[in-house]
Amino acid sequence: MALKTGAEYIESLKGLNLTVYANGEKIENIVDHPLIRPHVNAAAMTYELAHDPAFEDLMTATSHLTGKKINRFTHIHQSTDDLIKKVKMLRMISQRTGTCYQRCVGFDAINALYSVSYEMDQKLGTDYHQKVRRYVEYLQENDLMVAGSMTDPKGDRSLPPSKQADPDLFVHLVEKNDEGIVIRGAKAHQTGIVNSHEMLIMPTTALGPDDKAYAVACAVPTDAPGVLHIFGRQTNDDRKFGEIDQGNAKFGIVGGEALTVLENVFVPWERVFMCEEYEWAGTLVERFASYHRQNYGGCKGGVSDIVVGAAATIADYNGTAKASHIKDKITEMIHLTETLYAGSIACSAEGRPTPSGAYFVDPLLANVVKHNVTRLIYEIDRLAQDIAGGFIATLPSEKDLRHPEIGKYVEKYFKGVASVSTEDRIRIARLIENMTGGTALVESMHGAGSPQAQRVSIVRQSNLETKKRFAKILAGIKVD
Amino acid sequence: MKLLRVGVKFCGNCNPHLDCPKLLEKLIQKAKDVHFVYWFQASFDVLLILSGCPVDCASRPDFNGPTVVVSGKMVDRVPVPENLLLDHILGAFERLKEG
Repeated sequence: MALKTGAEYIESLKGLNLTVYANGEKIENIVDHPLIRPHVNAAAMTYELAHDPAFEDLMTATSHLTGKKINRFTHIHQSTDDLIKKVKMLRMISQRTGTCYQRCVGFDAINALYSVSYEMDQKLGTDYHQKVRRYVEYLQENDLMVAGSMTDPKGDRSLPPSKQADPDLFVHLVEKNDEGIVIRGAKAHQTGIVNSHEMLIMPTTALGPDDKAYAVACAVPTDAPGVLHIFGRQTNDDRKFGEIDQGNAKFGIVGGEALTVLENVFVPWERVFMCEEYEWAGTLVERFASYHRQNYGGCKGGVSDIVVGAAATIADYNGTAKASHIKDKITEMIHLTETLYAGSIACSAEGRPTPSGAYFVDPLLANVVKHNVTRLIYEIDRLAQDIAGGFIATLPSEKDLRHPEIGKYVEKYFKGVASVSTEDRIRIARLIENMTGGTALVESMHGAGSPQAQRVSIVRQSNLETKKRFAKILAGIKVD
Repeated sequence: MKLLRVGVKFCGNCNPHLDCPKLLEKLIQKAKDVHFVYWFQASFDVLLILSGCPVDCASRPDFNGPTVVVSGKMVDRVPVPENLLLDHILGAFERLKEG
């Protein structure tokens, strides 16, 4: 089965034996749980759209391992065209979900591991790359969803892993034996993990010799013994038990994140891709982070397309669409959205082959994209709220709208232009409210790394000495 | 009368200036002497590329025959008013049939 449908993906989740807790309860059926179902629906779109001829050019690729048609989310980039198509695919899916569909993280993890494992083998004489290739082929053949598991809880940020008061604050090796390894710790902010088949564990930071037990990369089924997921709360998540007040009831807001605890989890050697080679942890982190930061002008570009469309629609419904300042704000939102997209396209077009043959983005431009997202999404969303008006934050509930006695007052006093129903005005208002605040904004700030992580990468790759030299030459200063 | 077999390939529609699936529906309704297939389904005489915007990034399948390219509101790179798009595409098919 090379290409699952959305329904087949959802059905496959029912076969997993996941241990998931949310809101103080153990969740027996994640697929139908109101807190989780919207994220399942969003991820299912990455499967369903691959079967639609209108989207298959972006959604599928030809495997360089088997020659078969595969879902692009399991593909290893073979060209800059692949990198560009990834960005376009993300924008297209976001336009249809308005939220995170989670599958890019594992996509980026397999691409990062693919090239880094090759380079490790060349240098160290290990056999990790062949194992990664077999694992990728397994993912492609079964069209599996993989959570990219990088972020450790980190504890005291001033200390390296080996100096933490609690050694489990970073995932680490507990035991090595003939069969495999045993790991313990946790991974935080795990996007889509409760509806993924696999998790690909990687170190979260560059490591030194004292931290070699923390240099672990491996693949673990999300329902393996010892794996436990604690699903995170989101802003307004009580609303998931209704419809209109959610804004985007079908697909939800951001990815559905969890804390995943790894309590002495066994991993067979076939699924171990790094074990104590601490010198390579930083390379793997940087490669994964660059691929992941590449995405944000695509996915957030598509999400912002929805916010722009919603803002323009509410202006129509409010009767303000012809005001010059409204038009100007919409124009600014479009400008900012396309600025994000331009960065993602640029870092993809400037991509290059790695020694493994897989293509890698330009890391400087990829970091610039994500850094812009930490700022420009806030401005896009601020403008949307400005255009929409304060009622998006003070609206009565869906239950009040439907209430047999007071519903008529909600209908009457939340009316905009006469030609549009009050319910439609409330629906678009709720979409704006939910897409432009709370969890959605924080995800833009910290997803794929916090702003300072990008600034460190940007300055490291900025070629500053050459810029100084150019300036000195023009100023008439003698240079070597 | 021999039916012209047209293989259709979409771009992926990330920036649809044009609703390409809807355009195809209209073509199917209007072009009675054309049989449309998706490019991966069967062999065809003419390849029809339906790209939603002028970038026209649809990847091209291996095919050495004639190709008609719609990219946004252009047919074979010539700007066409939206209400005349169907006629221009059908005209391109006619010319190919005539040889």
